[in-house]
Amino acid sequence: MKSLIAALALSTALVAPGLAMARPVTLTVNMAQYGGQGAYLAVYVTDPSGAYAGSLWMAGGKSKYYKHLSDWAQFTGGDTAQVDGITGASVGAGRQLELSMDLADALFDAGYTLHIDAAVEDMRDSPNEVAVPLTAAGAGTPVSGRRYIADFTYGF
Amino acid sequence: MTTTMRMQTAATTDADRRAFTQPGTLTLRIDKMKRAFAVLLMTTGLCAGLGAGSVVLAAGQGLPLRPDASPKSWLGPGAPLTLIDDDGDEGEGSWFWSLSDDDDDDDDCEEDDDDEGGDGCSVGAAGNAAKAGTVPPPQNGLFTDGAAPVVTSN
Repeated sequence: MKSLIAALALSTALVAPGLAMARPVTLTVNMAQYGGQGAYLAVYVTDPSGAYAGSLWMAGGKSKYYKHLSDWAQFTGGDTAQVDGITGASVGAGRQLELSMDLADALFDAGYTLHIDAAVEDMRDSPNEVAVPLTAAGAGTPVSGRRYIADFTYGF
Repeated sequence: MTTTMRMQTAATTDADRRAFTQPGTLTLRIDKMKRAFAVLLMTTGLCAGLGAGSVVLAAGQGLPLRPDASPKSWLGPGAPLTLIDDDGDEGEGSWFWSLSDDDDDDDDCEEDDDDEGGDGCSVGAAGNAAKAGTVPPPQNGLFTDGAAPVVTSN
């Protein structure tokens, strides 16, 4: 019995910190009625110094078009490994993209910024379409995009 | 002399008189006509010569004659073509997607369910990134549990 309790305590001690470090986040992108084809979107994070920290999602399946997500492409050199396993379909005009993920708690209130680059076939590229600091206070506050995104919101 | 004869004679005489009273007119006209004919003959000769020349040239190179022969046809079969411009879609800030680049591309792999192995969308196909759910997400320190984001609506 004692050994069982000890094992339980040990496992809790190991798991609890992990739970505290994770934060379930929902990203919601509402696309504007821009009158064009499905948009490619690159969702990624930069650290407090502005350096690329990693990608969260790539909407759009063909890597040959990633060069039009120019800021993301510049950060990553177009390396598709950065978005392996986090790639989905492009997002049509007027549609919504909702992503649920567990993000590291350390990203919030620490100077990290979430960026979205957007590009649409036969239309202008829109690097840094959205740039929003990741803060607890900013959760739930819609941020307007520059061209193709009507608004972007992140929430817990 | 009869009246008719007098009139004809008069007319002739009148014409002659006009010719003589304006001595340069008729000669001028003739000169102009001669010049016109000369120019016409020259241009005809030139065109005919060009046509004959192309026939000879083509025949010499074994090229088929085409009515719409372009300068390219003057090149031999092995002559390299110089690329003048790469493609037009590198415009600064603009996405001049040439659909001819990818004839089948209206959108990408949107119909994931029907297009598993499809055209340029399958995992690893043509260097495309792996779709969510097929491989673990990148180990970039952003995801805590190693699970890929879940798309709940689109």
